[in-house]
Amino acid sequence: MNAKACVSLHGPLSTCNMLKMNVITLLLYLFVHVQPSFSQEIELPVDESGRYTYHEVVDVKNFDSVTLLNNAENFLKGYINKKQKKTLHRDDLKGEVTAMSSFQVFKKGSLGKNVDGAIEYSLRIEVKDQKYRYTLTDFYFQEYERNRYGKFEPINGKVKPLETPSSKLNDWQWNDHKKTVQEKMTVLVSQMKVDMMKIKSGDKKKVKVKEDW
Amino acid sequence: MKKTILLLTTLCVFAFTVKAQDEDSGLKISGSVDTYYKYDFSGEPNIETSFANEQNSVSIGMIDIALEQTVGKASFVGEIAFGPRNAGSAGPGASVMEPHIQNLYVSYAFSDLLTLSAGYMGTFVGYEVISPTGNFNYSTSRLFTNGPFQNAGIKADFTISDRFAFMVGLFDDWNVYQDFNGVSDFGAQIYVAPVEGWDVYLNFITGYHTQAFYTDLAGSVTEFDITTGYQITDAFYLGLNFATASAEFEDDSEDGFTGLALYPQYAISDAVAIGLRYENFSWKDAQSYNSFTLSVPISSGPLTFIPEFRLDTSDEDVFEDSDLAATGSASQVSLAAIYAF
Repeated sequence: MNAKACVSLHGPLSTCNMLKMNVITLLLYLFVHVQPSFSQEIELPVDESGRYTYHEVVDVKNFDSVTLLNNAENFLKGYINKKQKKTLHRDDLKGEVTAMSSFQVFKKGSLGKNVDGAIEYSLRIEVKDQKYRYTLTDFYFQEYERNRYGKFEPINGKVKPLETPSSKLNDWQWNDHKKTVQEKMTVLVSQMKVDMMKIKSGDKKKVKVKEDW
Repeated sequence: MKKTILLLTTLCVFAFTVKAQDEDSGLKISGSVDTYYKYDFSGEPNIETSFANEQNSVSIGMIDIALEQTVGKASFVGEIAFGPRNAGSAGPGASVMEPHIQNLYVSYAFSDLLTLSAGYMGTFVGYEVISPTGNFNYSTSRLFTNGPFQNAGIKADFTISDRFAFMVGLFDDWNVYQDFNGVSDFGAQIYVAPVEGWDVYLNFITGYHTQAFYTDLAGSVTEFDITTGYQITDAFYLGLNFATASAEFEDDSEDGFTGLALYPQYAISDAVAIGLRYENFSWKDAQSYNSFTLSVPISSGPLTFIPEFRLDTSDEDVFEDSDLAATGSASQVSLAAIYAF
């Protein structure tokens, strides 16, 4: 079949058109089935129900529960952003502080930092005398898209749990988001561990007395 | 005097630099390139909606590059495109190699409630957009083709809550950088989200144009549009677009159109979806169309393939068959590849 013959044929069932359709089908098949693997599978910790959960009991000697609860509240106040402040809740009876937080994740390989979505999750810090435990769970992916005005924004209703398996075609992007979660949670936990010991039990405000008053 | 100006400039630059380090000043660069092959079964290009009309050819769409930055309450978007798809959005006679602005505006968020924007912006009217990354189907509807593409002007967006917002603005004629008869369009939009996952936009634009309704005649043009989409389940999405437009030309003639498009879409996985676009479109006192477009986007990260089949019918013989005889229907297949960055 030469090029000239292709140009002269117009009928929908011509051999030339069949050939073109076959080439298109082959290209689509190759696209779907031949995918290189880009990165290692990220394994996040899971709880008994299979949800991704970061959970740990931390022993802290010489810290009473009230001090720990204050430290937990101060940590979350500083960690979450202005819009998330309304989700911050302190329960003195239960001895816990809870909040919702989120961070943006980006399209892998994009030129600029183009937002692919946001990871939303919940934080809980429970306290007792001499110890506290934290739970970071309920990880959801909120999908973003570039709108008609050229800005990235969340798509209403496009939210899915991070545990949702991704297809083979998009595994590398999904895996990259899980890697970001792993990195962010590691930083969050280390920062939390420092801040939970910021003010010790019995610490009082020190008043400076000037000598030359 | 020169020293004073230099000092002030230095201080200004220094002050801005220090401030910028404290805030999210990341410059975002995004965009897309697209290419396609299309074959109309008559052997002639037949379906006259916007873009991707070249018959039996591996053709190009456009390269689209957008810059966006937000620093504190101020932001800008500058988006420029080259290529046939871009030229198609710029109107008749536009050169394929000539760049065209898709978005160029600045915004200032006075508060969480009020944002003012001024410049040249993608239109707020309608369901489909120029950028192929913003549409499910690769070919476009008649409602899109015959409505505005862009509106230059100044607008105020009021965000009352996540569920309710509205916009009012003054705009130039459709799709022009400069309005030679003064800012003459008034536009408004009401946004409601009755439940999570359901967006409803009520759009209205009216004004006097020097070239009304893509003609050489001056006249007043008004369009009312409803654009809505509901993510009914995780996999099933239903979109709807209804619009009615009318033009009264200075020679006392009239024109107009009314159309309805439905967009049921089903996500088979996060990589493969299937969707139909059904559109009914009627010109005032002239032909009407029914159009069915079946698309199956397959995506892997930034790359999306869209195989598509489209069948258009009309109550008049406005198409041509393979013998170049007038006929009432036309069909085509296409395969588009779109890379978003």
